[in-house]
Amino acid sequence: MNAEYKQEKFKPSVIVTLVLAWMIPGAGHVYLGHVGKGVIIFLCIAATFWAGIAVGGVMTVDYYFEPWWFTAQMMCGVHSLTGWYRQQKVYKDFLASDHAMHADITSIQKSAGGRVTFQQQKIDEYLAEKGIALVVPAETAARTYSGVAGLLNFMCIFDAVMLAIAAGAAGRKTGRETDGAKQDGSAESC
Amino acid sequence: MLAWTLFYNPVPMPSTWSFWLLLPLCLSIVVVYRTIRTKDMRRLPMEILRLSIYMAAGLSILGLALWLLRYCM
Repeated sequence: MNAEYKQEKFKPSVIVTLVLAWMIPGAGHVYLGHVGKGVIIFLCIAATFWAGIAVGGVMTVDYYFEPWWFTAQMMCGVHSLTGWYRQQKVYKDFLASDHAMHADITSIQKSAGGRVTFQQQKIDEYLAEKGIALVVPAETAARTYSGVAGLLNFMCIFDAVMLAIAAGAAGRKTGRETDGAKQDGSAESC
Repeated sequence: MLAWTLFYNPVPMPSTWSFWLLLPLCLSIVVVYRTIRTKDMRRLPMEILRLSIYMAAGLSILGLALWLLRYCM
């Protein structure tokens, strides 16, 4: 069995592709051999996500007040985890401050019907004091940018996984063997 | 006055900015979409340009239609 034969038999793991594509946008495509596509995807999604954070600041990724946007943002892998970590630090500082005497961050989700609770009001006051309160229109732009970046990466994850499944099922050559030459359409099989 | 830090404090922006922020967002969507759909990487820039123009034109027409609808009603 020579090296060339082994290379032709490269069958990408769907799980590895899925994890890589989620963790680092574009990495799934790079793993499958589509380096050019992976680099473009990485740059574009990273730029979109961090543009959102630049506009909205540290509170853009907010699990407590914007769970749906948060879900979309979480599709960005390391980018979103970094954003979440930074936001959690703000809440930890809040709980460590005197405001914690009156507010409990874990009880925010219990507020029904979108009513502004006493706890939420206290948190808003704290964020305004710190100069990091996110208000319209920066809020809309920031969450849209970072959320759309996550949804774009979701599309890329789906594409990479479908490519991996197709490559594995057919046992055919993937972009790994053809890299450097003409890169064929990644979504042909989808 | 609090010091402003990038990626920490929100950008103080007027409401008119949000309209112009649509354009880079559309470009980003177009680049990622065309990148995963293209069959030939050499044709990618042209495909991105064409779809960007379509999208900008479509959004402009939609915006104009909604503005006219609001103006007429």
